[in-house]
Amino acid sequence: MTFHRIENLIGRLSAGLALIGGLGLIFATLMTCISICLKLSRRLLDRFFSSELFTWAHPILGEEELVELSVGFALFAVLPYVMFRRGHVTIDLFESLFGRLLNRLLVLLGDLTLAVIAYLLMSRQWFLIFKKARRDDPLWSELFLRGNWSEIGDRLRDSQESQIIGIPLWPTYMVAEFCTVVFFITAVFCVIRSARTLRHPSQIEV
Amino acid sequence: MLTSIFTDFQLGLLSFPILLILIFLRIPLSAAMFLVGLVGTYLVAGNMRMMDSQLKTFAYGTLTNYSLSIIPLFLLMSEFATRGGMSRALFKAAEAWLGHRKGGLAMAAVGASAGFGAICGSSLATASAMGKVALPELKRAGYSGALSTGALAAGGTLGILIPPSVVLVVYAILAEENIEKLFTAAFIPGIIAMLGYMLTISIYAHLVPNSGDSLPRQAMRDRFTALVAVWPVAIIFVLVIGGIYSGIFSPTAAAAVGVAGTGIVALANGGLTFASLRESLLSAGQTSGMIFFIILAAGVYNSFLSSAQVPQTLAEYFLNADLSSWTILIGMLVLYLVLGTVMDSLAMIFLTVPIFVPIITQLDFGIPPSEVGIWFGILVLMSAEIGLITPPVGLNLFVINAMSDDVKISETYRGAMPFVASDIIRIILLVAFPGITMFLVRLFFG
Repeated sequence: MTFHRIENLIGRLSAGLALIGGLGLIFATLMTCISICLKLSRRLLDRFFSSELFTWAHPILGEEELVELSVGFALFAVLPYVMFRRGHVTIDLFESLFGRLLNRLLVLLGDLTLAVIAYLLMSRQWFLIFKKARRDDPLWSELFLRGNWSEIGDRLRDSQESQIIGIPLWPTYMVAEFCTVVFFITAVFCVIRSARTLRHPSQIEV
Repeated sequence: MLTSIFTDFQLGLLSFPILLILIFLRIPLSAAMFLVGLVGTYLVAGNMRMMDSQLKTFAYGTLTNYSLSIIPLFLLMSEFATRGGMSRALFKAAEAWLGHRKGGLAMAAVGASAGFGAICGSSLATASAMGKVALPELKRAGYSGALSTGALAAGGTLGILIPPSVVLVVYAILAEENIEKLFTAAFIPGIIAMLGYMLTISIYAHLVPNSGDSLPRQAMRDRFTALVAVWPVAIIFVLVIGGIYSGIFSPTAAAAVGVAGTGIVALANGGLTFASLRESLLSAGQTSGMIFFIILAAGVYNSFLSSAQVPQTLAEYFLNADLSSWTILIGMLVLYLVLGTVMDSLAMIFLTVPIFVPIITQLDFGIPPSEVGIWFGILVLMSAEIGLITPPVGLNLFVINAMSDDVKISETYRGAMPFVASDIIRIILLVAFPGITMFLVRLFFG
């Protein structure tokens, strides 16, 4: 029973995150369209009236960066959902030759590989946000447990900014890392899910 | 240990069979490429440093890349287009103009697919959107199951042959080619594809009795009324593709305009409720997530291959081998046809393009070297898309067959064969006359 509860929870979490990410796509669309409208009206104003009129009418500054970041958010946010829905392309040419048990084992192997990749991404991407501890430095987790926030703050890579509008990038890295953590959790769940089908042959879902 | 036995190049070559075994063992394509790429990078570099730094920046860098942002937007546009009810209007318009010919209703299905392809970047979406509308009508008009399912499956490939096209975007990324030029180049070959399919239907309907009879001719007035009803499609196409061709906005911005356009039409036709918006977002998201994960994995794998000098060494080998450029090109295209019978088109492109493009672009085909990559892209697109309608594994065939009751899959296979022939003739034409593909590119980009 608890398994189904967890399954339900992970399913909702991943779909919810994907939907919030989808809003990123809509935001990118709206912003691009508004920016194009403003750009065209600026041209018309310049040509037929004076360039001092409605000075606020100009393309949105850093439109491309905002599109990049919002679409990027949508993509990170959908990773757990793709994992949960078994959305990754497999070549099922020999599926019918393999037999039931072997097929389930192979699905488990596929999920396991994805989980390993998710772990590697999650554990490496972390260093986009925080500098690696040098040899004698205490680990980040130790600092966190000690509540040593000033040193944690020193480790934060807060110097990077986006090129045009200069938004600090570390919060976006954090969002990406959060999504990757959820991706990893979902992947671990999927490994358990496909391991269970080995033991409970009756409960296979597609 | 392994590195003492094999040279880097041999490790690179060895990675192909390993990758293929993993893929055929049903490991997801992205996971297999990721894994082989990471292990390979580790072996070639001899330490974890390069792998660590790739993993650190690669995902963020790829997912927040402006020119790649076009993919989710085109997919969302396709979702909205499918829900906008435009497939019906397109089919009605094409039927009004073509229905009175022999096999005309099937031609109409192909024509409407081409129209739908102009606002939709995906083959499966085009096949299923048009299948839903056209299959019942074809059945009512007494068309044979083979002809109707074959025509619709082939028509579906127009979704990707006629720009905008998600597969071309992927090619552009892998081959580092210009997306605007590729979209421009794809236009005439896409129209030839449509005309070729129509011709195929006409020949088929004349040769096979009772496979597709003509319907009564419609009055000119009705024809124009039906044509006028597709104005939203025309406007969206002109905005998106015209905007890209004329350079008014970037391809990514054009895709956003397309999302807005199809979204407004779907909203006006009542096809976009809260629930269907949710579905569209999830579905476009899922496909983009899948594609981007392969892009990531392909990046890792390809960086391993180039650190093992595989593309460079292979290119050198082929350049020094006593083979004509045309033999190499034809060999590659035939490989796509063969792989296409069992493999997904995107998967094929991800696996082959990074190896093939460095070779092809150094060969002489009697056209300027800068054009070879574009021309080859269109040839790859066309050859890979045949895979969607060749048995045993042809996704469009499955989609269309599943939608039509009482048509056996063997019938659908048979019905698709004439269209495969038409595809092959078109590719031969495009190989023999690169000018057909490059005409618009030369016109627009000088």
